[in-house]
Amino acid sequence: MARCLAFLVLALAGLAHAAPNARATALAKDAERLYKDGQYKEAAKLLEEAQGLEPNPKFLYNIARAYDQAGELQLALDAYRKYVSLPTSDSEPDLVKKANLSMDRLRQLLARQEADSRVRDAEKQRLEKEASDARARAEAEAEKARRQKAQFDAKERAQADSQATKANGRKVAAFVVGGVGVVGLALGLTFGLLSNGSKQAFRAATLLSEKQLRQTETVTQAVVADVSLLVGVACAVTALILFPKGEPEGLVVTVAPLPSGGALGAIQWAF
Amino acid sequence: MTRSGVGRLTWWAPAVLVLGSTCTLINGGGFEECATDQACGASRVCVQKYCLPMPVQCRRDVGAFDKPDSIRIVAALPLSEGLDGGAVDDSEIAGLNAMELAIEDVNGSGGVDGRLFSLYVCNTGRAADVLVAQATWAVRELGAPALITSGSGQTLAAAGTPAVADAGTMIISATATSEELIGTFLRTGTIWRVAPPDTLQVPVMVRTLLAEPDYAGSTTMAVLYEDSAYGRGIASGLRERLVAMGKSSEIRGYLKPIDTRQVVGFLEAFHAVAARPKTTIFVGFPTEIVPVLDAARANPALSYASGHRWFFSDSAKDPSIVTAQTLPQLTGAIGTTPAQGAGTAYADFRSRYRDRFRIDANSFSYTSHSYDAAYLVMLSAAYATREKGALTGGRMSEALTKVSVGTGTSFRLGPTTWRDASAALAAGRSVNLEGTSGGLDFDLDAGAPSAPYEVWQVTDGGTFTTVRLVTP
Repeated sequence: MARCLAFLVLALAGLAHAAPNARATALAKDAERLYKDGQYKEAAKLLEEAQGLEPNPKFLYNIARAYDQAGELQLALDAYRKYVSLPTSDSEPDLVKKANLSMDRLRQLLARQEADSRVRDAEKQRLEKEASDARARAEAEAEKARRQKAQFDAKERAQADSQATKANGRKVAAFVVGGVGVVGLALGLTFGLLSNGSKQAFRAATLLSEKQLRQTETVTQAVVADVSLLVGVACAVTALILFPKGEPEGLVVTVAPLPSGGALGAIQWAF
Repeated sequence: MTRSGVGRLTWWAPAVLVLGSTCTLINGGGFEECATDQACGASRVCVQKYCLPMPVQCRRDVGAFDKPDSIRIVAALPLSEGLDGGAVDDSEIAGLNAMELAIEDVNGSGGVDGRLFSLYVCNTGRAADVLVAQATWAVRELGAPALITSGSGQTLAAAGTPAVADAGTMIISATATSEELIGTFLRTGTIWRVAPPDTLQVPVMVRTLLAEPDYAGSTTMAVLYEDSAYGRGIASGLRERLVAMGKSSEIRGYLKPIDTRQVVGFLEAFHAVAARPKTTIFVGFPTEIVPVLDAARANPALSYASGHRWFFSDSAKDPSIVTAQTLPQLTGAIGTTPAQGAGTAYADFRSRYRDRFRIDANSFSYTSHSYDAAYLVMLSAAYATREKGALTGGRMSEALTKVSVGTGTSFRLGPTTWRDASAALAAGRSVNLEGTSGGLDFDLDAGAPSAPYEVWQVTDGGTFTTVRLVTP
């Protein structure tokens, strides 16, 4: 309140000291009102306008005061400096003294502000640098991750391609071996039947030479049948092992019960 | 197609199913059908562990049919005239009995190193084609190393059988006497006879005709012979000698079945104008002798009262020729045959034969020869198998070259001498065998022994008696 009163007195005194300008006076009054309402910066603007209309050391001092109150330290310091730079005739010693005190204070504040600003700037720069570094690292890691992912993807694709190639090869091999197995089983079946026929002929033979011939024939055919069956089974098992696993693919045998109690078998290829 | 069901199989299932369905078809074994004949039933034999059928007219006779390693001998004999219910040949049955006795004697003495003998008998029905088939079976299927045959024609047929010739099978005959066999023996070295050849019998027959009072004065002599190797051999020999002696002779061959009327007609015409005594030499077998004599008895020119006499060769010595109808003409009739009782072993054989078969071995011509034939085959087997040698016809024939060469140990054939005689032969030593038929001195230029002959006569009781023995 004491400051307000001082600002008012000085303003009005200024008006009283200089040739009055209505507009400047009005602005000063408005500035005084705003100042009282705590709108220091607006008040300073109005006073600057009034100063422009009617230069007045008081206005200048009050501008400094208003900016000081508004926290515009540099503007306030500039205004005080102008005020103390006025010829002593235009200034009042007391106000000059106060202005110098205020200037000292403001300089300290500005210095502190500047220091704070530098600290903040440094901190900001550090933070920005850290952020930059973090971004760089993140980008690097992201790049690395991208590269790894690309490598992984390539590896996956290569693996998939390899597996696909291998699977195709195994499938072809399975079919080939399976074919051999089917041929072996067919041969085994055929020679088994032939051998059975020769055995019947052996039993019916009445001559020694015929018996010996039929025995040799039977044994030979049986051996061929045995070997063929073994090869056939081995090939079938090998084909089973070689054939790529997955959803039912290949030969499927189903056995369904019959009402008579027997079973009906069926063989089906599934691709 | 439904996939639901009892179960679902995949790849391996077809293989298992196929394997399962075919495993019963694999025939790697089951070829051994037998170890001995007994495992094959009555009509089959066990050969190399196979059961093989025997020819219809063959059978297992006596021997070790329950032994897997028995030595097999086949006797292919004309046990009957034909195979369709023809007359049984008692003489052949008597000979077969003797062979069985020999087999039993040897098997009872331990055989050859524990291997016993088995005798298989085939009835040839006196048919050459049947004999050839049986001989082929015996050699090729049964693997018999030796055949015992009967009669010259049958023996020649057996010798000519390709399977027999190829295998070098040993053939031995108790009754074959034809000289035709000499050539075959010299060519093959495997055809043997126990009885002496007819080349020896013909001189004996002629000498007997000249020596016997009932025949000595005959100026006309008809020779009636069976048109076979046996009959032709004797008939041609007789003709040569009779012509040389200035006898009026006529020979007439006949084929089976004999035309009795034609034969009797020929004899009647030949003897009608002949002076007494008049002789017909009948070189034939009982199956022809009986009907011819029966037809001739009512013929005045051929009656005993007319001075007609019958003279016989060895094949006629068979009780079956004596019937109520033939006895009047046969009484006092004479014949010759390789001697049965010439050897010291005969008496024992005759006794044991009678005990075993209730038949007098002396009633037939070749009973003891049959025993000797079977015995010789078994001795030959002992020789052939020495030092684990192969039992082949060739090696068995080689054994008979070691028999009766005069320098070896003497043995009388019989059950008690088997071990020593067979051991001596198995050791490769020569032996001097005294057979039940007589000395078995084999003439290696004939394949037969030079043995004594017996002059036999029909008694008024219808039996046979030995008049004397004659050395050729």
